[in-house]
Amino acid sequence: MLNINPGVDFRGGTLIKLTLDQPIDSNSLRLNLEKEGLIATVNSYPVSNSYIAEIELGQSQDLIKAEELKDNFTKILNEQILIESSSNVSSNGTLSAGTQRQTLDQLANQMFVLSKTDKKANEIANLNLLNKEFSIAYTKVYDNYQKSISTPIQKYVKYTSISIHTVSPVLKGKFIEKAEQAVFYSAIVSIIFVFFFFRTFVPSLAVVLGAASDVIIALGGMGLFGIPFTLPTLAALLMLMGFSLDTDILLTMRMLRREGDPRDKAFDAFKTGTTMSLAAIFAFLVLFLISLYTHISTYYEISAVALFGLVGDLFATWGINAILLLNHVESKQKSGQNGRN
Amino acid sequence: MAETSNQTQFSLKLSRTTAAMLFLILIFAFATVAYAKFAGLILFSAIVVFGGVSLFYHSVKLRTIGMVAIILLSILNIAVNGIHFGIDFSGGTKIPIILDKSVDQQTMSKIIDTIKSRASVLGLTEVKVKAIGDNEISLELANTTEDQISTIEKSVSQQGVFLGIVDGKVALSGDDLYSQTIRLRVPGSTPGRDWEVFFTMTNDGARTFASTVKGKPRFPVYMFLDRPTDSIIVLSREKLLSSGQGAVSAVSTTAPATLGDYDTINAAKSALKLENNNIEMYFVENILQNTTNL
Repeated sequence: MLNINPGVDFRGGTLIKLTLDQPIDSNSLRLNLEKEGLIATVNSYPVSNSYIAEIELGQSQDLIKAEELKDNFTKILNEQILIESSSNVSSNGTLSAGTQRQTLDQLANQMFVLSKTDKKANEIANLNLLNKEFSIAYTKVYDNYQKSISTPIQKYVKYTSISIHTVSPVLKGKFIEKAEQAVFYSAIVSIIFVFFFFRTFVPSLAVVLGAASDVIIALGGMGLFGIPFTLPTLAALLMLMGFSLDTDILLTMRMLRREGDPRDKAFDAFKTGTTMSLAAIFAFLVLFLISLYTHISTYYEISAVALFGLVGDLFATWGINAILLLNHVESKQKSGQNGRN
Repeated sequence: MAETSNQTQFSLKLSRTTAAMLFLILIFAFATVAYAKFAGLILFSAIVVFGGVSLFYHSVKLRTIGMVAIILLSILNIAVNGIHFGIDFSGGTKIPIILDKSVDQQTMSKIIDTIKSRASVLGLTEVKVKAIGDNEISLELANTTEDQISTIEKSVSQQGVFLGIVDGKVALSGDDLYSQTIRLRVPGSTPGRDWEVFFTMTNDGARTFASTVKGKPRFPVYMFLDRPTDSIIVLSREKLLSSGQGAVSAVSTTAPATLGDYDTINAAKSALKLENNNIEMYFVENILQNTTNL
């Protein structure tokens, strides 16, 4: 199984980056944050004439609980509204139809407790008011979470600038959904384009396999070196598909559409294709080195994934695809010659 | 014997096509500067035109001119519009908002307007709000404090305040409506009516409504969403009188066929009346003449 570490975007949680004038002891900061109830991983690096500290916190259980309560509350609230609006009120004022008001009150009370709000659901008769108080309590849970992070950090660290990237459970779900859609539609469109363009099975399959190999090699590199799977790395993986299609289509066009000996054509394509790939590798290598120096994680993630993929592409395209295509073209030539004979 | 001149004679001869290309470049450059808002579209058009020229004319000179033109127009585009830096470089806060359900374009537009107006009430005028798809909104704030972020988060998550006002008193509020029962009937399905909205009220809401409207038959119910407090309205008297007559006649079955200006203005003032919270109305024409409110 691929041991890929999902980043904050797909795992949820909070990533805080601090710029500091003085170095800090990562371990003692981690212990201080633990005293405040925050389980975090802390790393710090020197960068030119300052220092960067990265604090990563897992998804908050309070936020997960708040989302669960909200989903259940909303579902039951909508049902209860329809029940109350359509039922008849008996002479003593009670609803004659079934009601889930008790369940609703329990959920609301749990949210009030979670948000440390001093309210009781059974004291709020009106459903709209109950919904309003519930929404306020829900927002307060997030507010409390933000404060629970920023207050200890301000207490223990003197920073010059701060960047806080928080991904809630709902947002994490949204990112995952969008990532799946992006991958699915990119793959489908690429496959359709390739098969439509070449209209022959073996070369088209070779191109698609080449692109898939590059992505899998890059994912393997990410797992090996612990590069987190984040939105930038997803973008880099999709970009890799483009790079791979580039060299594969170059090879396939030269092999299928040009006249001459198949092996000579393959070698010509190899010279052009490797020049292209090496140029891209050098460009991303420069970005990678800059990212190591500046500790900008987005540059690091994108360039590392691109490097793995491009190096993998050299093997996938010229080691696998070229052989497949050469076999295909040579066997077609042989069968053509046999037919003439 | 004729004497030959040692001077080199320089003559600039442009072919028609080259001259046309240079003329096009000038047109595109002028358009980029004059219509900076459409600079992107102009650049795209230039790429299509010069790209097309490169395809059909196999002259190295023309292709070079075309390529240089596109590069220069791109640089001009950047010079005119600048580079839009994201918050990674400019600093700020980005808040993605995910709606409970997908909405149509009209509703999305109203939600965005509501968020912008709530942000401006909080003094945050540099808020960028844009829709992503049909159930997501991206909110970007320039450099803000933690308290401001917290305030805007609370403001955005608040539901709108609905009020139904009859004769200056609140007869109906959003808390009295069952939200799942609100239905819009297609305009024109009932003869003589433009549009109809159906909803069910709570028993308490129904009692409040009944007691407020008692003895006031055919009084209009003025409905507001997020009715502003501590506000004034400044409008053109001419526009109010020209459009107001139709509006007043539509809500009042006893109104005469033609209304005087006084009746129209009174109806408008009546719509803005609410005990302890009237919205004062001022006419632009009077302000310009330095008069006080009506």
